[in-house]
Amino acid sequence: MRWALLGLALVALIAGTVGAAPPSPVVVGFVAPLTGVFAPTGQDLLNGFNLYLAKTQQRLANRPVRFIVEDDQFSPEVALTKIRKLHESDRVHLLTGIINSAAAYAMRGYIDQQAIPTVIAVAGGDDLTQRGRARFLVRIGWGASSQFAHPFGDYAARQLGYRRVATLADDFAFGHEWIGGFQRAFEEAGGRVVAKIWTPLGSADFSPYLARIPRDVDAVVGAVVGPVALRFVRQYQEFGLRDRLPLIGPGHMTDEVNLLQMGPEAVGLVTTLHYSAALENQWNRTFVQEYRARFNKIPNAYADAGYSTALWIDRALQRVGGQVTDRAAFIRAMEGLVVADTPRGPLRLDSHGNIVQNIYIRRVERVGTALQNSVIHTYPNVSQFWTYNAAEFLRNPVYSRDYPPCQFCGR
Amino acid sequence: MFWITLVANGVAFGMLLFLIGSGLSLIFGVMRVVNLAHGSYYLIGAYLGTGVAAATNSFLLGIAAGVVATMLLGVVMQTAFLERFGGQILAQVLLTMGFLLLLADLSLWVWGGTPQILAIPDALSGSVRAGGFVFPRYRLFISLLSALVALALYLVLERTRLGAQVRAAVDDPEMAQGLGVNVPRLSTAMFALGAALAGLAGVLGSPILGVFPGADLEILTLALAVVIIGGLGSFPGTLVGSLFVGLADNIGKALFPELSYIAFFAPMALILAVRPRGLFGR
Repeated sequence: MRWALLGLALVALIAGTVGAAPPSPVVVGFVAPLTGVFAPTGQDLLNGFNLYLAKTQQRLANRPVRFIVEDDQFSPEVALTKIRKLHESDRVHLLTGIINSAAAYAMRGYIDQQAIPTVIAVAGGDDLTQRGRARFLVRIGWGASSQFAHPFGDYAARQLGYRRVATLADDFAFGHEWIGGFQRAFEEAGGRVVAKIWTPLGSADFSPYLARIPRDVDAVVGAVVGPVALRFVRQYQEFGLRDRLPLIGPGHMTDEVNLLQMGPEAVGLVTTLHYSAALENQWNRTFVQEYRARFNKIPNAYADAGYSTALWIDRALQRVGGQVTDRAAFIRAMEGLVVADTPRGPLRLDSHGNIVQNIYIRRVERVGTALQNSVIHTYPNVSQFWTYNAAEFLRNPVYSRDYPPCQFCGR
Repeated sequence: MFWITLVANGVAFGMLLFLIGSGLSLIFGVMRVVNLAHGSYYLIGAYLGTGVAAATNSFLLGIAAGVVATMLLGVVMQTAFLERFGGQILAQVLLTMGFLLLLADLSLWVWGGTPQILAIPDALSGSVRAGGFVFPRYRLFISLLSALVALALYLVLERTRLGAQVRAAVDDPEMAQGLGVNVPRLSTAMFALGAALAGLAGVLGSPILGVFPGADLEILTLALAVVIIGGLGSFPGTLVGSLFVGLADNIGKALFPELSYIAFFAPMALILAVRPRGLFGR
């Protein structure tokens, strides 16, 4: 009896210590460029992620987090090496980050083969969640490149009333996909793209391309991204085009970071994106306030991407009780998840693992001394397939330089 | 009208390239070294000029800051480092390559990676119109200022005693030294002048081109094309080379936008095939 009691006490003691032991951490691997030209973008993304973790006291689904940050230098090769390291030596439960689409394409085979749940925070290449989607990949951050081009084409034709436009875009995948999506929706709504001009990535001087823009159009659609967007907008004004032809395009041009550097040349630009720091909802107001307090700057769409991705992962983990042992179940949990309280609006995934989200039309306005992207129209719950049937949409080739063909060019 | 605009653009861009190219060419003339850190002077001039001009609201102070700082940087690089490796061309080129990387990282550390663009000074903003011809006033200003610098450089190099000493030092440093020319001092001065020209180009270029990590390499590539086409170390060559690159770049991109790089690299290859030392090279 005494022995039995002692045994019982011992068992209770062991059970007690086991119960009191902290739960094992969720291991999250984060890969983004943190050095080189894209370092600021990677940093904004990381800031957003860290802000969320700070609010939850470094916990996800009430489990402590081991958050491992790796720099991919914006190179697909380096990204793949880092992802192997995160999987094989750190044994991460899931991967996130990823800004470079080429890196995301390069890792598809590996993450499916190793069954690593991957939550893309930025990379926008259309086919990541369209033709040849990886089973273990979902995209939360930005959505597909053409996803926010379709509604914008619709808006340009129906709301802005443009009939004829010329496009000028970076000659690489993002420019092709964005302009392709714009052209399809714009022409289906009755507009005509009469000139498509492609500029090499990182052009120093846009003046020769500006000289080629036909003057008998209603507007110019400019899809120039990265650091050269500043000089593009400046040069567009410099050559007197701003007074005659409105400039519209993707929201990268007037990213909150760029707006700090811009002046009168940016006022009145109409752009589109799934986020604006000027969004009027309670979650965004709180987010902007907390982000500014912590990092002393205004958040942009990358900062939101980091924050919302972290929030998404947290909610998905809660659905599986914080356990990522069954990885397929974790992906399924994300596919059924609906999150309403993010800075950029309600989020859910479509049948192909891509985010369905509001797309905002914004106009640059001066408020006090600062410029901001004021939201002037909202397209609610836009999917990457826009109003099309997914199966029919996927039978078309991915948007490219020559698709859709420019049937009105030169006319 | 299309053509007038293109040619005017080409000349304006070419004149900005001339400021950078002439500095590179000057340094090559006296040091016999292709200074790969030349783009870094542009970068640092642009960052400093942008910062100072924005803080003081004076474009002139911005120019002064960019020019003086790059000039000092040039003096330090030449006297403390390059001069120690006199005659060892490979070591010197590697050293300039090292400076290129070092200064790029240093700039990223100091100014961060966020792209910056300087506001065009009020007096120079807007455009000049004549009939259907529209041209930005600021670009006109760049062209005229660069033309003045070119004229001044020409007069100093060809018409003054100092210029004669420089030419002597370029042609035969030992003989020049023997005749009482202080060649090391002269080399330092020319190196400083070359760096300052690139710094000036950086400040002047930042209102239209902006500045960001990587702008140094972008400009270095164009500057190398300029001096290779014109002939390294030749003053008229640099002028012709910059106008050629400016025009070929503009006209080529406007006519064959898909072949933008071929537009001036192909003529460059052709010129080198016929004249391996460039149009005016000796």
